Amino acid sequence: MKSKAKVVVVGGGVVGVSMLYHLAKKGWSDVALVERKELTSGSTWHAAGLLPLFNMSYSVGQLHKYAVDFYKTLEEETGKNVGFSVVSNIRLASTKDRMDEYHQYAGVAQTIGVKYKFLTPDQVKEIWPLCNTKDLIGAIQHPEDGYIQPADLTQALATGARNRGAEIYRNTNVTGIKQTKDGWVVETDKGAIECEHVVSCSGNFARQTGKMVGLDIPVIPVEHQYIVTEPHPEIQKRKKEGLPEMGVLRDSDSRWYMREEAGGLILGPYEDGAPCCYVDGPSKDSEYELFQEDLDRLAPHIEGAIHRVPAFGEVGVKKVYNGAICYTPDGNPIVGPAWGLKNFWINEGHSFGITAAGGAGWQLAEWIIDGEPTVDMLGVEPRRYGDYCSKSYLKEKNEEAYRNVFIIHYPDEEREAARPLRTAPCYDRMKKLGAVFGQKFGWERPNFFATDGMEQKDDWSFRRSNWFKAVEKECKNVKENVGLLDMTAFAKCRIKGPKAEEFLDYLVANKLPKKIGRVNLCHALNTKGGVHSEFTILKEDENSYYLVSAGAFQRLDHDWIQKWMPKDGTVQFENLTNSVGVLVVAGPKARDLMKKVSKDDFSNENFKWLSSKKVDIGYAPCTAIRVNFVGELGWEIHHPLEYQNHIFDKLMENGKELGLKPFGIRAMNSLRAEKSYKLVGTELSIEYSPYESGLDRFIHPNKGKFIGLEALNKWRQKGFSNKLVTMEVHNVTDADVLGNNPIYENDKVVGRATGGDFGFRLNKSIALGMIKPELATTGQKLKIDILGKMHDATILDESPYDPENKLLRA
Amino acid sequence: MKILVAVKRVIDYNVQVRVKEDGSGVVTDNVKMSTNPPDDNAIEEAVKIKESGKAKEIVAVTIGEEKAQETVRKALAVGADRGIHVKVDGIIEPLAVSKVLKKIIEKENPDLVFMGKQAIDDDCNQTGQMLAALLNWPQATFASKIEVKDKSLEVTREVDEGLETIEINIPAVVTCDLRLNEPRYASLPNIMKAKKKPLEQINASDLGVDTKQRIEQIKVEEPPKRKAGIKVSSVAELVQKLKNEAKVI
Repeated sequence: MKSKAKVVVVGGGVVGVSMLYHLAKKGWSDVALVERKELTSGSTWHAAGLLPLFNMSYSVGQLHKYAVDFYKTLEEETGKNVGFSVVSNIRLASTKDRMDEYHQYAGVAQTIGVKYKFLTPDQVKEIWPLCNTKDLIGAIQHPEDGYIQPADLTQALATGARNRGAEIYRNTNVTGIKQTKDGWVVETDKGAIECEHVVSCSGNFARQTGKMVGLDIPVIPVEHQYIVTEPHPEIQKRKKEGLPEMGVLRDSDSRWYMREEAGGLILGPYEDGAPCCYVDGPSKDSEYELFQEDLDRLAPHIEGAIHRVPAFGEVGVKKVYNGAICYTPDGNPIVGPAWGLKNFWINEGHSFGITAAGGAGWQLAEWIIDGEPTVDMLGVEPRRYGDYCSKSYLKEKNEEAYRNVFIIHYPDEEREAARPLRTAPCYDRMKKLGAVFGQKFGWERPNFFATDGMEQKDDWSFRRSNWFKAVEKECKNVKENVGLLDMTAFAKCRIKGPKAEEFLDYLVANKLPKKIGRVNLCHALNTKGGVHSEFTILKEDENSYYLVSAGAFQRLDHDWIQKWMPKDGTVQFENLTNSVGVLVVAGPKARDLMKKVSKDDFSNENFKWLSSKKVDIGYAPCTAIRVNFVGELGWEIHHPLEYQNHIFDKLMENGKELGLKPFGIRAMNSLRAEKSYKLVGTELSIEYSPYESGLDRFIHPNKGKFIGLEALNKWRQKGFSNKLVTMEVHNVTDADVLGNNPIYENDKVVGRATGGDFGFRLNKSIALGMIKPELATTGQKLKIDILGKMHDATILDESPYDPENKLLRA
Repeated sequence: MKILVAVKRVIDYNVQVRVKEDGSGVVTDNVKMSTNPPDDNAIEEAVKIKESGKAKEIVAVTIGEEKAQETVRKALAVGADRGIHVKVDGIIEPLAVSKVLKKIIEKENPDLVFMGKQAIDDDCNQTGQMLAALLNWPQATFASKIEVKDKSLEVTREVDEGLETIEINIPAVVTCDLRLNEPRYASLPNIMKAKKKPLEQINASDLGVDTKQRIEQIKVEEPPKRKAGIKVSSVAELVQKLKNEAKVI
């Protein structure tokens, strides 16, 4: 065994071996993998081997596409057959909402270049004669995917890695992982390996591996069963006649997948009541382990399967596999750097690991070797979770993620399990006012307010649903009077110390606010010049700055700051997220309201846009910042959390006669779209340069050195391929742009929508989108697909609502 | 004719059995369990006899903890008509099993009693023989072929020397070998229907049978690990090692 390596990969399932392969392929041959038992012996060996390209996420979709293309090349490279059966897969729809979901997904597929086809029930019958298509309304087919033999795939990857110099140590237990001055030591029962990087790919052991380095990795596996039948005469007959396999069939509404297996069928349902397993980790001897089957739990899905494919009930059950699959609270894997630890990487929580292993290894190898990935990895980013992910939270959320695998992925879906968890003090007050909450990073945030007898309940849809009216009222009240928004979930921190200014100036691309009390919107680029984070930076004092960023990215943003911060104590970081609350007042009557609740001067002369002041609201000491995300006169009131209800009550009491009403996140999204305001994760991403995202006025390439500058300059020389535009979408009836919609010019895809909404102030359906720069001129006519229907669209000037920011400056 | 089949729930034959750290037994928590494989042959044979019209009813019996019921359900799914679950917790030895079965048989009056030749967990190979003795019935063990005649059975037995064919009178106890037949798989509709078939639960204590352990178990340990093999470089070396080290030639 080596005593030194550049990287040690912990875990020899398909994910770990693909990780090793991709590191070696990218040129790092001095890498090793340590596996406690045999390769695949955790979960890989009992995986059904499906390769679903279908995924609603732009980032995960790209990883899957890579994997499916890549696996097809492996045999040629390694000489090992991976058993890839390109049999296509068909997803059935029996409701209109399900078809909407497929159309929304088709947009993602279109923009990342995945082939798909919509089928009629009759076409399904042609391909799958054993399928009962009577109550179907349609289906979507991926002609290029199918299934693979997971163990063969793993062995081929292992061969490919070994051929490139990587080493694999089986039957070797990791007993400890220690950080050293320049890297890591992985201790095993067969000796220690010094290395620069460690990648955790330990599957069911993720939490145990994490514990060795003090990380709480939010992964707990869930039991998943699939049933294998004995051969069916009909299928055997088809085989004899030389007919092709019928392919993978998914009945999303009955929540199962099915495919042929050795002349019989495999059925895998995603049922209610599947429990978490290995909550405290598998036993140390665990190897090729299966659990007791529980067919009772599967009964409704089995009935559904027999209804859909009667042949499935006509033959005997040969075997039932019940094995562990890793899960995370949102069902997506965790791929990327660990927070707070240099060169420790996580590639865990794979619930569709066979499909994801290829792409995860590919992007993580880039991340490790080049310092950044090329695909926007926010969907699988380890730091999308926070320390609110306790074991009991994970248990409930992961079981929920499992049973929701086949749920219709509504864009406005909010899941119920383990809630409420993190609440702002005003939570109960908001609830009384009709708030219907959503959850972000564990926080409860009002999404909208049910008023005037409306039921206090969400109504998910791909189209305008019940909450559309409520949001209209909220938006109009913000435009005409004044609205109140709880943004306590914001990530907040303070950066101070003698080198705070120097450090922050290097961290972000904008100039820092010069005067105490001034505020700037600043963007941190990654080393490749893409947009990593967005911060509102307030200069509180000489060498003391207050930073606010999106609540969902607290760990990501704060980790990014700490990663770059000098370690010599000249800069200090303080997380204020959980001690500071934020209430936003916005609307033309915001000043009148502030005058009523505070004796401080809120006049335009003495409290300018993009500035802040320490003020009293009622008796409570606050920092008022004159910024907001909705494009009206307004202030964010940042306050120590314990004063929140005092402030809230003062505002509500005094706001009554001014028409003060609370508004929620969904109204905010509509209001921001009309102002062309951008969000990290959609309009802003590491895949786009800040210039492509229209951040020109926030980027100062001549201000001196900052992270990403060099790469950005190079990128600019090479030329940009996108430009963010704001569009009006015409003839919209009941569905607005949701994001990921393909944009066309003359029947050719020229871009993708990043977001959209109906703008009530403009009375227009608005879309934001990335298109080819040569088309990005005001007035340009385009077409955009909404749920399978083509709409005309026209590019508008940026910030179509109040383009000169007169209201903000009023 | 009525056939009673005894089935046992054991650790699935695919599971790598692990010994508990304190040596008190093997790990059964969270481990996949299934029907003792030769018991599946016993059920299959009973179902075949019924399908041939020679038997009217098949009763499946199991003895064990609450979850042992699953084994009876499985028998019902492949063709048994009703089930009996005798509840008892902890380890139960062949003699106690035989006594419990005797009580059930006295009540049910079957013409034939089938069971696997031995269970793959304790490998005792005693229950069938003890039961026959207690009932004072003829027995045929290790059956690989059964022919039902008018008032007798012609049974082919797997014995060390080859095959032995015997004829025994009915009622009789037969223990089944894996070569007897190929057990069928239950279809899902039959698995679902099996849930509706009658399953009677009886407590072992209500039968007046003492199920206390008589054998004291001192320690359970894993067999010694096999040493890894080596590669020899030539035929000559191999011959030399076989001669001098292994001493087999």
